Amino acid sequence: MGDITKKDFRKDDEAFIQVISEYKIDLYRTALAFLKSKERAVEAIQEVTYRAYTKRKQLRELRFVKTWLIRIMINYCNDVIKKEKHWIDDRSLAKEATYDNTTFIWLEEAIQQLKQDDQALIYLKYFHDMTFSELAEQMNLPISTVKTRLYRALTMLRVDLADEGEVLQ
Amino acid sequence: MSEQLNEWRNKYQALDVTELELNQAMEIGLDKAKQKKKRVHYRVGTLVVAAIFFLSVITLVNISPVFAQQLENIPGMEKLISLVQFNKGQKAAIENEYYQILNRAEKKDELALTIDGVIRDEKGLVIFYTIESEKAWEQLRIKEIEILSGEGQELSDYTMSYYSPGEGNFDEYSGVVEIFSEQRIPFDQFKVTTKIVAENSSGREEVEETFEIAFEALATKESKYYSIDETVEVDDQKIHVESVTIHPLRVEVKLQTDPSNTMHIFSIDDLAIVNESGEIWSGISGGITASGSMEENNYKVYLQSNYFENPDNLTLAFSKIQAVEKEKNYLRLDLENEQILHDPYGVFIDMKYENNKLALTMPVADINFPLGQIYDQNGNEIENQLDSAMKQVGDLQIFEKVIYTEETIIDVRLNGYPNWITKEVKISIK
Repeated sequence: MGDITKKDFRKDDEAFIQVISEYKIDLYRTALAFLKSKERAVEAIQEVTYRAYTKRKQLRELRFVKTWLIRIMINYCNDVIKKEKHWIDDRSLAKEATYDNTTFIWLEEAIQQLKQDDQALIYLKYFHDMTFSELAEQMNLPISTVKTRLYRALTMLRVDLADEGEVLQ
Repeated sequence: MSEQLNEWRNKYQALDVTELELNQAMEIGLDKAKQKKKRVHYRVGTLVVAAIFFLSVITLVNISPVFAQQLENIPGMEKLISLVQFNKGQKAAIENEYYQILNRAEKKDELALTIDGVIRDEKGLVIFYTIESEKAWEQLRIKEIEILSGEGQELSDYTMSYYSPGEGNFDEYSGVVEIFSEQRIPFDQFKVTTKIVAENSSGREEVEETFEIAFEALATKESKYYSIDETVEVDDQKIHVESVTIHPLRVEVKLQTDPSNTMHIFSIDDLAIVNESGEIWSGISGGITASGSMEENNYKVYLQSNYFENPDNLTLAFSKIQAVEKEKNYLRLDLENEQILHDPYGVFIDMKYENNKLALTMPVADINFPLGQIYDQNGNEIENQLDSAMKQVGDLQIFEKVIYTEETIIDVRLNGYPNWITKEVKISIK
């Protein structure tokens, strides 16, 4: 996508698709981690393309596009998950009733408890293998701040996982 | 922690999707975005048309002319459309003017709660509400809610459910709270007490207010009760259909299985009602789908309501019964050696037990959560932990359950299993 400029990305639909296409696999994996099924992850790609297109003028610089897209994806996945979590008042019948919902794995659940900026940080670092200096550049923050934030997020993850009992040491 | 995160990442490296599928998804997304842009531009004539058009582009939901006309009379109708779009019964209730407009609002400091309206029947109440805030928050939601009679009496045997909105940027949020009782709701005056919370960054900044709003809601439509009392036999298994009750909000089908059956029936997966022209009202999606247990006398399956239709014929139909032979209806697991000693028809392909967490893998199938009560080899119950999870990785699904036990061999009772008796069954309701 070397020759594509920010202006192309905004004005030219082909250029737009070409840029998104570059990151479709990264986006798909992120979606799969959140949504757990191929069908829903493919739908997420559709939805993120949609959202990215409507928001494309908000992208500051084309070199930040990967982070920007992954954040849109995380945002979308959180929306989907929260919509599906059906809060149930189980004072009486609930124990016997059957619900249409899905439960999630501890680690992912714990990640989802973090605020969205921190979720993005964990995904970019561990899922998409970005280095601290890449993260700093992408997020427009000093490296030291990125490190502090990541360690804080990891600490919160540990606390959250410990709350689940002795399941994960 | 880093190691766990790396392992986690590696799980998702294998790809189960083709480039073509992804490209198609991107194209559809782009088309939708371009369509929306175009249409909203020329359709700002009247608000109603614009709103309906906009939504139909996004969700491809067909809105009938009657419905559109009805909506013109209701303030805040755009909100209503999106809230009822997946529930045929509630949509029909609005079309048939069975939605009661309330517009009861209370404002406290920077938050306001409005009960926009309700749909009520003999056993249920669906409340449409809107939360508004002076400034935008990442989350705007109900934290706690209690629905009592005007005098403070609690409903008996009830289930209540509501969704929380996803994180975003809200200064307004509209949603639905549903409450259903097993008995007839014996009053018409209601009092809703609820804590509303507005928050940013997972609670680092928040405002919380308690609201109390009273209103009257009448159940003016009588439920239609059809006694069926018919026993059907599928593969020598008997299912007794006791009755079908059509309430405006949902249909309740009472069923039980015969004790002499040789199969244990988990559920009927595609139970639906069908009218003479073949229109189908199927199960509830994203809500309470059934209550009680089929083996006992209290099992009810809930379907979307066709109360406002007046069909000449109505049929109860199904074709897929999820069931396993009674004597095979358990898993026997060796936790120490991670071995499956008994599996009814051998569908599980892997088993792990680590850190008190049992994980069982099978090919993807649309079934109930299979892992139920756990027993030791003397038939004593092992305390049930509520922590369980399901995940899908490619073509496989993994069911997980926390088990604290010193036993090496355990039996797990099944609550679902990918084995079906398939046969088309039709029972006339009227």
